[in-house]
Amino acid sequence: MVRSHETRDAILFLLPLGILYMAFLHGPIIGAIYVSFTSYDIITPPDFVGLGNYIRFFSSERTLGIYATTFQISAILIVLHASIGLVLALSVMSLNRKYQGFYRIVLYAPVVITTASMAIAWHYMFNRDFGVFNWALRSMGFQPIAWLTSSRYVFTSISIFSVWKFIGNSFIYYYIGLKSIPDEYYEVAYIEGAGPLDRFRHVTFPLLTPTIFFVLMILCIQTIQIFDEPFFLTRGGPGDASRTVNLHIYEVAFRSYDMGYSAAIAVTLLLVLLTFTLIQTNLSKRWVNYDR
Amino acid sequence: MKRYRIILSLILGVLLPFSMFGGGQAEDSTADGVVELRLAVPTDSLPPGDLDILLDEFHDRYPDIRVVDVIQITNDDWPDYFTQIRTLIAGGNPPDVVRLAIEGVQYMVGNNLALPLNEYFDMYPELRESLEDTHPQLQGAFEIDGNIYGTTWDWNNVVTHINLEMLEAVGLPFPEEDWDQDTFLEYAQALTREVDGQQVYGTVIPDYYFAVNAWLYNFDASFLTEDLTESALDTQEAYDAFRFMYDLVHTYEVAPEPDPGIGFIDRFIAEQVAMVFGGRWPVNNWLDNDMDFDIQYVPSFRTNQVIFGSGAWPVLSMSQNPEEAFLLSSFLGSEFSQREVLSVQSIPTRISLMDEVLPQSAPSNSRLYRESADISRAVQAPQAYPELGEIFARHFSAMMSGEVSVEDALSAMHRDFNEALGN
Repeated sequence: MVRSHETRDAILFLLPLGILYMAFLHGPIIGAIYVSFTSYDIITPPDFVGLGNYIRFFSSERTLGIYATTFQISAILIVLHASIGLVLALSVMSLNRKYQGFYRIVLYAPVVITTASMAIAWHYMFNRDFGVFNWALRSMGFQPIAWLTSSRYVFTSISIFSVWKFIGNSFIYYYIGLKSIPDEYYEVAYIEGAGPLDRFRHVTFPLLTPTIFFVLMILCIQTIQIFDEPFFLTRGGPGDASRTVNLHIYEVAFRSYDMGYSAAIAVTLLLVLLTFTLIQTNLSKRWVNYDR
Repeated sequence: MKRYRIILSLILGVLLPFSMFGGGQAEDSTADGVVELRLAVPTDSLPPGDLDILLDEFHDRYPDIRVVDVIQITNDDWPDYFTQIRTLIAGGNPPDVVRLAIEGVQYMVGNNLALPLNEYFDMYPELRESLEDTHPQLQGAFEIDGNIYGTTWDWNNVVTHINLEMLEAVGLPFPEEDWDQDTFLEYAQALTREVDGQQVYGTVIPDYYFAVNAWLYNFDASFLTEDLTESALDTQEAYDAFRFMYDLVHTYEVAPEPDPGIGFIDRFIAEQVAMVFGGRWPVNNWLDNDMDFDIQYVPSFRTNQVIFGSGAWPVLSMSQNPEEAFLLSSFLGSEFSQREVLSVQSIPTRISLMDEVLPQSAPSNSRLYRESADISRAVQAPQAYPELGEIFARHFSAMMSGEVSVEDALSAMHRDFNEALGN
């Protein structure tokens, strides 16, 4: 039974962190919600406009179209990151232990390199006329592709860069999840005559579901908020073909200096993410297995 | 206890956001009779060490004034720089003097952020001498409704930079000053070829607001009306300009498709293109790479009207030491400053200095920089310039990628420009 003075001590120890948490997380969120009801350019005092920014949001075909683009990119990236990360983790786990460390480093290294510097390099590689990818295609007799300047291919180029840069994240989560599955289960399955596919289906996958759920949730949150890849590779173009919600928020805030509308879009994004997270959490009860 | 925790959390959560609505009051900036000033500059505006030369000289001339803080602002472009200036102002600790280009002066003046300096020029009539030697066309960008907001320090235009080795390789003479659209296309076609298995293009098309504005002027068109209040993209001349840019890439295939991440400087250095469009700012890059180049006017598609963008050092209206800030502003725009530190990447605005320095500078045709000042026209940069730049980039990229027709892109740009301008 927890005594009241223990509770008091716990609160006191947590209070500094709690204050920082409130200041740097909840505070700005509440501030953004407030600003979303104003017209504000950070120079002149905010002017209360009620629901004006939200009405503008829901009546803006362009903004709603940008949301649709974001969901499309997000869906593609979730599937790619979740599946490729798992395949890589299973592959590395199947290696001799002394090689696993090397591949962990190789796969995770791109994650820690700055996105901006890598995007510049990839930008040159994707260039239609002088990039190495199209040089390779031309060498093989194919036509060059407008990787970054055609709406047909921007999703592809963003996906390729995103997977190369960030696959290490989902890989490492899966790797840790696989490591936590006791070997005894595999030994029993082996003794019972289960083959690799059966072992994956009846041992690995059920026990990995908590990790899979975590990866999917994190990917959903991160990909819907995607900014770096379209900003550094395509600047959201051509037109709005690769413009994501976060990039649009940035441009409305720091090109149009319309902080109120920018905050309103950010609040809608928050609500979308909360909704998705709640749906995922509720659905997880049906398929995530926490029993060991 | 639980209730108190909840209440404390709520109070903190509600009160904390309001701390961000701080005012723009500067701190007290006088110590021991010495007035302290803060200066904001873009990180790439001066070569390393040159600002120290200026400030050392300034401190010698004015021992009771000290620049104690130089805020170096890293930025992608002018709108990014202005955003950070705004943030400094909103954060309650604004600089006294800022480096400002024409692209930001309308906004600063329109929002009463820049201080008119007329009364200080009256107090220090000897500093008016700088204004008298400054080219009037270029100075005009910082004189609005009779108020002077700074002595212009530098300027840039858009001319054609030509790789002379490539020209010689295809047997073409250096183009004449009054070369027209047909001649330009002939040159671009002749210069487009394969060299050692590598595709080389005759030209690039301008793909940023300033250079496209320059082309529009030479097509006798413009982004906006003269008073900068409405879009002027609904003319035949504007359509002809954008159509020609599109055709250079997709019909004549003499220019590479514009790529937002790879600028013309990189392409020119790599000898992927023979002709590019910029002012004096890329010249250092060509010299550093030992390139054989020269400059010529942008082709006279319909006329020849050279664009300009000038810069100065305005004083912010919330400066607590406006007189001292004016002295710093004037010094930074002075002949000493232009002569000592204005490098090859910019053009001095003083007529006497242009006449003296430019004929001795690379390239051979540098006199163009001086002569073009007399026929120059300011880049169209109203208060909404950052937003217009973003609108232009969006529709231009869609047009050049073939996603939309030239007509539709121009029509959408015209509509969105007017919306951004409040029409």
